[in-house]
Amino acid sequence: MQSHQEEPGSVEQIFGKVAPPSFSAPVISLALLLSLSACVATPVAQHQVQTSLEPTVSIVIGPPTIEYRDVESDAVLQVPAADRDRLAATIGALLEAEMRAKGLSLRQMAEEEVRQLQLERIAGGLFEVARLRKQGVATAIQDARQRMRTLFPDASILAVRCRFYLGPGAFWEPFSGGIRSSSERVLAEGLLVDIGQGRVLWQQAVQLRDSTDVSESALKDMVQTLLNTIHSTSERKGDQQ
Amino acid sequence: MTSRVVSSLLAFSLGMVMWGCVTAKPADFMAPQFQPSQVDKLVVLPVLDHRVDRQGVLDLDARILPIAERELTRLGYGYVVVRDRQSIEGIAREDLESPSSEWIGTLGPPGTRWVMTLVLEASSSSLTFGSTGLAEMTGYLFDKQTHTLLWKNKELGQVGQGGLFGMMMKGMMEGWAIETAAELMFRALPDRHQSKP
Repeated sequence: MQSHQEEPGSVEQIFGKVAPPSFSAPVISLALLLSLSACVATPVAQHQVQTSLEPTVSIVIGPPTIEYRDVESDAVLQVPAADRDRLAATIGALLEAEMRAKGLSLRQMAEEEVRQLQLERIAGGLFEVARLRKQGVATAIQDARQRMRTLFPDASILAVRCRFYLGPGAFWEPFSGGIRSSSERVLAEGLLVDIGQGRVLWQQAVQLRDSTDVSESALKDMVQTLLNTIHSTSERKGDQQ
Repeated sequence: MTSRVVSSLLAFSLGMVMWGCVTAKPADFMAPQFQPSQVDKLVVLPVLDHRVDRQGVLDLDARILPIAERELTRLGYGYVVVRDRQSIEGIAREDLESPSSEWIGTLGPPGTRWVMTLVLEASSSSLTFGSTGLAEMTGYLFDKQTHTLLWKNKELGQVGQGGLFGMMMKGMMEGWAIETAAELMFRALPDRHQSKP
């Protein structure tokens, strides 16, 4: 019974009982508002360079690479394949919808094409293969690049990797009164490459702090921010008119 | 009232005992052939800033390199600190994730063998009822002669201070978190004094 009576006073135990009620109420409200404002995660993009593409450029969206990592060691964490595939399918659909809205010509990579690329033996999947800037890569990646050139001689490949960093969440340390932010974050990286010519047409990285939210609305925000710097030339002409 | 004071004291004592038991985690990667006694002089490159979300401008070299110098001295390593940022131009996240042997050979000044790179992966500060800071730092030690990664360690710095005093400290939190992460990172580097030649 005693502990039940103490529960409503727990906030006062943290902030101290010196303040009269008329003062403590606004302070607690302010604290609550500040705490909530810190919880609102907004994706932030790394690059601001805009890339314009002709609507005729044929784009193939590859299967997004999904990775879960330990934020404290960068070690890859194992997640059920079904969950990873479901997340990849959701992000793939969001990428397609966002690119279509920009008036670009595109399609998803067919299952048979993914199978022929033999990505399953490459850590990092399609994103690792599409990182053309990286030289001195393993033979398996060189072979996959060659297969990609053969399969998509005239297309540009959109490769996306989402890393979900898991780690200690937010907590309050009673000895110092210190509050610690959540260490969790999501890093989404995108590359659009002309594999035939060996050129990187576009690249971007987006980070979402304090969150590993995989709800469709959170992922949609992230995908929109990621693709914010890609435009079709027809879309830009429309903007100017 | 007395029981509450006693329980608080007990909790405090337990916390202090547990704090004393905290040990540094081992390095995330250490090559079996890594012999610290062989590392006569290592080259420390300027700090790489690989943050996506850069909230503020920070002089990372001024903040982190003195920590590197202090920790390497404490651990018994000879070192040379390179401050020319041109020496790290073009080093991308992808280079460090899975370094190729050719790429390792291009690191640092010619004629050197042991090269250390320090990377700030993420950092932030935020205002709550108080303020918080967060940073992720990774250190790498390469051997250019054998073209291999010898040691790698990533650490997380989480700092914060509650109350109105903490709110006033918000501007310091990000730097404090970066320094904490850097100090933790070096704790997993083997002590050269204890390494057998």
